[in-house]
Amino acid sequence: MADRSTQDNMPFFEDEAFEEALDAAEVFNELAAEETERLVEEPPAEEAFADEFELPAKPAAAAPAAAEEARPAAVESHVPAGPGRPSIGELFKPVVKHSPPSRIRIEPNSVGTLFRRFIEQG
Amino acid sequence: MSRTLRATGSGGIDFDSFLSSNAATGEIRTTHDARVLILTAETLLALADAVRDRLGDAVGEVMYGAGHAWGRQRFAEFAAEAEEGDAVLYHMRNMGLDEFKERFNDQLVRGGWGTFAIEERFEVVVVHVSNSAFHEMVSSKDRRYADFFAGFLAGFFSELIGVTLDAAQIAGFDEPREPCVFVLADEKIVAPVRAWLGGGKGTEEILALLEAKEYEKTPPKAQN
Repeated sequence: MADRSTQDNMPFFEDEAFEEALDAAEVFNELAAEETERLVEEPPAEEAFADEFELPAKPAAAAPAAAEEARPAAVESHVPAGPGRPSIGELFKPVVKHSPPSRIRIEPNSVGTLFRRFIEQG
Repeated sequence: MSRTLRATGSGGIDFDSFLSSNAATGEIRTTHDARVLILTAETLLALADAVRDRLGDAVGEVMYGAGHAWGRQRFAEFAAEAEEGDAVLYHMRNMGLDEFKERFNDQLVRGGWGTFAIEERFEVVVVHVSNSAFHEMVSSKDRRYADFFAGFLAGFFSELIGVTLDAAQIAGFDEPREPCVFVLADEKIVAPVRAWLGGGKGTEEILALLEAKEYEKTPPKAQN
């Protein structure tokens, strides 16, 4: 049973869709850079306050680097290019979260005895 | 407003206490409030074919993933039922083996999926499926669809015992009424099994390789 997030990932399997996603990310990056520039030139009231009282580290000063780093991460989390790109199976395969196997004793003639080898290795 | 469905000729399975339909809402639900759709074989096959036509060889991976999700969901239903009946000691993996086998088989029989037998063989868990509706209707048309049921077994049993397992079908690919055999183990064992299947090895050859623990000799990078 594929969930919505899985279905949402489907278009990214196509190279064309991947290219579109990259283009969209580039546009986003440009907008973020423009916005950062605007914030540096016209700081909002809170920053003006911080300047006046010599408070450290204007958030806007760190923003360009942060925006630059955020762009590829956002794209790669869906569709990493090249060999790091997950297979379709990996995208569909859910993460199975388990309790630590060693904490649970295996009773005789139980389901666990059938799988003891894998439980003990796990 | 609600009425029960009767299944005749079901070999002793009583649907009176399992499914109920509501004419006002158009819903059929199980006793555990899971909604049910009755689909024909043609519908299932049309879905599988559409996925295959869209994704080509990747259809197996998608079927596996879908089956895995279904298996985990089915386990939740199974666990709820077992806990209601006080069949769980303190963890699902410590449910009595005989009782588990009976309940597991019963749950899938009620769904019309066939009958199941589970055994340990050569340190691998082997699952035999007879009268498999899925195989008869879908995977006998294209063996890549068989990964759906392999995914189901992997998802269900991973949740049951708390260790991530993998599964692959090793027998019953051709004739619609042929019994199917799956191996269930960790991926270090199942990955070589898939490689052997891809290399054209038959069921008996694969069982012999498992008995000889050939998977221990298979270099990890040559497995896929």
